[in-house]
Amino acid sequence: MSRLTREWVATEQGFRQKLTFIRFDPSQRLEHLVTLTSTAVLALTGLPQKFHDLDVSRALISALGGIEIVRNVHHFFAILLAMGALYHVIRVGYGIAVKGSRLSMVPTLKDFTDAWQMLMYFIGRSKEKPRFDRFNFGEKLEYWALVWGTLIMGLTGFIMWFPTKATLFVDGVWIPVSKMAHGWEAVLATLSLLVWHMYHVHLKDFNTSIFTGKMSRERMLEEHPIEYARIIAEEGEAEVAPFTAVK
Amino acid sequence: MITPSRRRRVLVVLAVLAISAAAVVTVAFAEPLSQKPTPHPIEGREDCLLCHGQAGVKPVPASHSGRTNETCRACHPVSAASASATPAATPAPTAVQPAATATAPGPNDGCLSCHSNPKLTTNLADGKPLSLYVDQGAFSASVHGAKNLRCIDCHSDISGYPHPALQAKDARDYALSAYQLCQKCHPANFAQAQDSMHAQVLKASNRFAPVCTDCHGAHDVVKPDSPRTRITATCAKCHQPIYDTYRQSVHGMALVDEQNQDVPTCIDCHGVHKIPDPRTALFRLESPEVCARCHTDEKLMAKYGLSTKVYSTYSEDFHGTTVEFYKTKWTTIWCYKAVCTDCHGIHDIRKPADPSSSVNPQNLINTCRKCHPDAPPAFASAWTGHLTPTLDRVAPVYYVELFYKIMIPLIIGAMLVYVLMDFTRTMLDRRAAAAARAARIAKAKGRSQ
Repeated sequence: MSRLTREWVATEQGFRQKLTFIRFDPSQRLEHLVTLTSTAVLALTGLPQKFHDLDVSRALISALGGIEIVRNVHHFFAILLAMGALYHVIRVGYGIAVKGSRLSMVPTLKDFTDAWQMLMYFIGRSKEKPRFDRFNFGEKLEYWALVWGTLIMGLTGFIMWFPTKATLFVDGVWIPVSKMAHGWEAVLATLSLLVWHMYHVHLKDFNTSIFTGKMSRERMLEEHPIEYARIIAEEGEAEVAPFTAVK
Repeated sequence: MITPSRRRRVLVVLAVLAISAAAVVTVAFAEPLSQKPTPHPIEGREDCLLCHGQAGVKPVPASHSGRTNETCRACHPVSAASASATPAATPAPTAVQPAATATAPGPNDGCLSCHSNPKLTTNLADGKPLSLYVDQGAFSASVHGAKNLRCIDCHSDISGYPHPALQAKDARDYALSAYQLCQKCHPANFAQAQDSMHAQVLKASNRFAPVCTDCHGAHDVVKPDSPRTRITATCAKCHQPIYDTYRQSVHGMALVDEQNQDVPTCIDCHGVHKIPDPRTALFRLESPEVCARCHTDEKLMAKYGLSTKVYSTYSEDFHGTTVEFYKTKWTTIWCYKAVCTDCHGIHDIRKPADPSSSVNPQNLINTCRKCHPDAPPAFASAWTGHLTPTLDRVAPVYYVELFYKIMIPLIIGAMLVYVLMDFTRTMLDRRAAAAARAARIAKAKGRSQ
């Protein structure tokens, strides 16, 4: 699948074809949608259970149809998230093993130096921002946080959902441990999404690439210059001619 | 048409009247101050000879023979005290004592002239006798006797003799109509009792479901809770098997064996007059609060070295949280999540250290299996025993909580710092870029001019 496309855009010189990068394929976009939906519903139906003595929690649970219905909804979306995660593991595993995909999410030493350079840039000690590849250190951090969170939430969630089955394999104390971990991990995940994810892809600039799958040439140059250069080189495109005039 | 016989009768009557008048005048002038005044009110008792006739109580002396009702009061005036014998007007402040009644006339003397007879009965419609005997001693010792209540304060339907005929079909029928009299002075308790489980059963089917007098008695009403064992004894009259179970519980043993004044009796959990149906979904949902009334009382629990955190830890637990959510939404739907009594027992609650307690560590897994039949042995250790996790107890839970209590502020704090730095830098960069663009445009304009 091509990583480049040309889109029609209106310019002062008339309609032009603009070089646009395909950043996410439909499968990845769907995975994001599944994660987005299930995480939102899980937080909405789960956090009121953790903070059960707040009036707003009582009102929310009642509005959503009562605790039993809320728990069923929570379980349904937990399954959805788990299936999404499983699909992701299979897809990525297949990609790496069979198609030889690049390990673009694996943290490297460069991520640490990038992070340091970014901080130096913030305080004016570095003139240049770090140049990022396909995923910057912040995006990798968030990805692995999601992996960690999904593992913890899935494991502890299923222990709580099937406590008698779980204690066939582990000691009973894992049930209250799971309850404690599940609730606080949910708080950590929700706060992370609200602070980190919300700022980087909504407040700073709304990054629509995960929904449309596309990213403009300018944004690629600004945010992922190393990947930009590699794609241009690999696809053999003329970097100097991003626009094609309409005949 | 006046017949000879009627004319003769009229003559006889006139003669009797004349003789009577003469007698009255004679007696009145002869010994007017030596006669006893009427010791009781006469309202409803205008027929003196009904009671004081030859066959009645305190019959008139032989010398009075031939005297009629009309002549009695000429010699036996009604005293001021007995004429308006309301409780307020009756000066005797202490309990009516038989000795006192003998000398000073009491307001109930008229009634007791018949009703002090232990053999006094009446036959009801079912042919069975109903005792009409009132034990004066018991009444005097009762709360109502102590307040010098008159018989007619309760029996307000009776104002004279002969009494209106009893309409009751049988003794129970009479009790079911008589207890209505209580509401005159006790309207609040009476109204509450009308909402009770007992009243529901009474209305539905069982005419032997208790009414006021079944628990409190009728003429022998005493303080129902002194001693407190009187409460349990009262309920045990009908609920003996439950009492037997309660008697062996931690609460029952303390009440009976130690005369403990803190442990709950029946009414502390079930209510006094408004006794709700304990089998409803709502009663179940609210039952943990019933236990919490005492078990969250710092002062009370300190006396026995018991934790006051049992309710808060329960409501933090999965069972308690669910029950609380049911309470806000589904008060009529049966919640199968455990409440206090599912684990601890209802009337058979014992100390957890008691080997026969359902929550004794030895028995805990079997108690879990009441709801979780497939629970493996390891399942019981899921229960943290109403304890807040600390290093010493359920340490893994404590460590997990500690981990998140450190990590969440640390991670989220770091994120916030980073985001704020990024935001500041981005704003500065954008402003610089805008300024550079403006300068370029200005320069371009300057060149074109």
